[in-house]
Amino acid sequence: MNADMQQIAALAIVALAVLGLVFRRRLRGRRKSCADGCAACPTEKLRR
Amino acid sequence: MSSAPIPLSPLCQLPAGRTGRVTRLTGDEGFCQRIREMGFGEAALVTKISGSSTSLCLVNGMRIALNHGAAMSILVEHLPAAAR
Amino acid sequence: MAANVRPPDPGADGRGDLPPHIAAASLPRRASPASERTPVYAMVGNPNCGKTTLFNALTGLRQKVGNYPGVTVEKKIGEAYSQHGRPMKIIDLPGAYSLAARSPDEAVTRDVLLGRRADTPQPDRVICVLDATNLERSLYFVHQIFDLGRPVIVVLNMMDLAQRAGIEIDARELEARLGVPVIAGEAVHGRGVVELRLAMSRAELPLPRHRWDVPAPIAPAVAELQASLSEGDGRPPLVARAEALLLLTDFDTVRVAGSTPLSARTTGILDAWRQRWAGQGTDWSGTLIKSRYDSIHRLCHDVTRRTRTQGPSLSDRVDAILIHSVWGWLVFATIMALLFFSIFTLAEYPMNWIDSQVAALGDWVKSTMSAGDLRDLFTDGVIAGVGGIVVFLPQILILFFFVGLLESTGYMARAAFLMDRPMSRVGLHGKSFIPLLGSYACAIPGIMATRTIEDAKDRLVTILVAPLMSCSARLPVYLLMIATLLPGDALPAGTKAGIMLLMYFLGTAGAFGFAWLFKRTLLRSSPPLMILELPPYQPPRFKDILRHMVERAWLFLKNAGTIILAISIVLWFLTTYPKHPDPAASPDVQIAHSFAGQAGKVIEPLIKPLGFDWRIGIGLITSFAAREVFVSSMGVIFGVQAGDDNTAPIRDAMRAAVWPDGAPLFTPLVCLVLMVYYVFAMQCMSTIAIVKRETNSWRWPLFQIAYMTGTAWLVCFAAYQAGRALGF
Repeated sequence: MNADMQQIAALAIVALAVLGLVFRRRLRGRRKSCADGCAACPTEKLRR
Repeated sequence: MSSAPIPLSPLCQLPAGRTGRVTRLTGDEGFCQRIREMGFGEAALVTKISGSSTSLCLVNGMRIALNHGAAMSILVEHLPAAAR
Repeated sequence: MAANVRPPDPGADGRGDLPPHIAAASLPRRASPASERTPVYAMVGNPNCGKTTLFNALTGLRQKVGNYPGVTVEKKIGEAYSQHGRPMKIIDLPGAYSLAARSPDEAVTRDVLLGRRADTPQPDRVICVLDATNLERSLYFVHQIFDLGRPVIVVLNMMDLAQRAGIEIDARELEARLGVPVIAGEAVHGRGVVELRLAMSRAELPLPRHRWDVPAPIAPAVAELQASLSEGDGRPPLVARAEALLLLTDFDTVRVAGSTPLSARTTGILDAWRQRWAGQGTDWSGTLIKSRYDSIHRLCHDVTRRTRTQGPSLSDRVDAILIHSVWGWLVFATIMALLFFSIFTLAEYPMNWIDSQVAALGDWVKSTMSAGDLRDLFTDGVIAGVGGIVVFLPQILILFFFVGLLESTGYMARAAFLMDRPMSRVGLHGKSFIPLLGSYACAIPGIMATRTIEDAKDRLVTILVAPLMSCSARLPVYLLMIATLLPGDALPAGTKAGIMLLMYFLGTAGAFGFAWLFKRTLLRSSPPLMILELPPYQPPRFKDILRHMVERAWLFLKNAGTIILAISIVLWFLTTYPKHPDPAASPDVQIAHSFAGQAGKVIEPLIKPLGFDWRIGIGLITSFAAREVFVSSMGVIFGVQAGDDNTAPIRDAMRAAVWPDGAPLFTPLVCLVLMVYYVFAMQCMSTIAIVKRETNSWRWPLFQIAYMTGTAWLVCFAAYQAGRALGF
């Protein structure tokens, strides 16, 4: 892979990371307001 | 039960190892209410396990910790040591 | 223990013994058995009686359990299947002593049971979990539940402990007297779970038969209030009766009414009766409680037998040491010292292993890919960022293991007892220490745990200072700085552990200091009264601890693989672009030319007085997401800067870092000041979000950011300038 291709790929990954951060809430689904899915958290989705 | 005069004092002054009977609850009404609801109301027997500023008491088989303010608002009559 | 599930008996539903309004109100429900709708069960009982353990056993969920009152502070909903395979919904509720709620966690229970929560269906049936070692008090709450007129199943939990304490309970007799199924068992050993599921599967469940007459002086008031509540306030008839009884139990109507204010008519009736009783000298609320207890007392007298009088139990003997005014503190200090010492010694081997694996991965990428941006992204961004933080997994696991030990043995409540005295100096009570101790693991469950605190102002003070307790996310930052500060393995682990202990102490002292300040200024209130039940000690339940550790480890790795990964990638971009016009520029020049370099230069004046340069400043900014991001940011920044052929640990790169004039950046003083900054600064978005939710406004989280980060800056400024003046 030459340097230009690498640059394009790297920038694409960066763009993905930015999108991921921006839409973090939505990606995480219904869990609101809490990034920490600890057991004490009522919004933690219950699993079976 | 002994008929000797029974001293009345706040729970915080009950010596460790002694048993008393709750005679009156004073102070904050909401707190008294909760104490009663926990079975710590008038006529309950309390044994002081330890405590100087924070008391640890045995009531109905449960260990209850009370801070100084709480222990102060519970008046007990001291029972003779043998009355357990 | 024998299973005491009664076979379905159409004649024994107890309806004949009920007051007519209850029987009437329950008729429609009973006429159409719950075949269409999923039946909803509520699991209730006193704090620490084993509700969540039973809930987990029924639903297969893994909600947190522990041996101290107040582990569950919010309702949890799960699903179980009946014997016939029908789904049943189960709501696990926080423990309560009474429906007249005194704290926010009890209010959750009250509101769900009275059908006031819009997001939760009102339970059709109630499972009352009783602590068999304390039948009388447990039955008081059950007595209130009976007023709701719902079918009830009683679970006598901890029968083994009761037996050991010399208490024998005749479950059959209790069942006959109450008229509802009584199941004896031990939830921790899974005994009684099958029987409970069977009882829950019954299409028809009897209503409680226990007779209790409302004391004569109060009965007319109950009737009047009940009528007003059902007509004026629109309460269903059964809820109205239960609520009327509660209004006559508690002086504070808010505790009963919660956020649904009473109508003027009801308030009028209540006030009129209270005035009348006050005139007559009737202690109305005491009468009601006493009458319930009298009835319970008679019941207990008939169903329990003491096989022997209780001498000092093992718990009492252990307590003689653990809450002793001298020995107790010594043990507490030893536990803490042991924790920090093991973080440094035990974690070293797995940490070195992970470290070498991360380095090997970096080398492998370097050797297989040709030079270019993508390769740099992988090595300097992804591997340096994520790898740098994953290294600290062992330490985090050790911390959670210790916290788990404290929680499952029953030591938490003892720590609260021990801490009551110092806490009272700052105007709080020992109960506030349980959330603070929990915050050593993570401030979020800590802040949730403040729901057990009765007084709203005390609760707010505790919420405000809880994030000052050093949480597990600070651990990687401390460890990185200590590793930079004290290179090599020559120094004993004791010194490193000592520095760490100092940071934890500093945070705790800060929490106490600010609590003192807030209680005297912003949130003045009278000294609180504490009443706290100390549970008997239990051997640690390693399965639960291990499960909790795995959960936290997974969470930590998930965070590293998502947020930290993304931030690392973005940060790599910001430190790499725009590229210096001269491709041969040294990495130092290149990074200074980048976006991050330019942005860092803008903020540098603000942090230079603390001895931090712009690279540290970038770490401070990115770690607003979560504190451990600081470590990965350092990994990326110093990884990019170190250039191509270096996969040495970050600490070596950091140690080599210099100011433009050649002076070393990470002097011992700066390392310490940076740690102090993280002790105080509010650097956690999740905490801010949870404080917002728990206080229901933006005011307090914003205040928290301002006071904590402000303090961090001031303390660091003072420490750095003083250190410089002293020649460090």
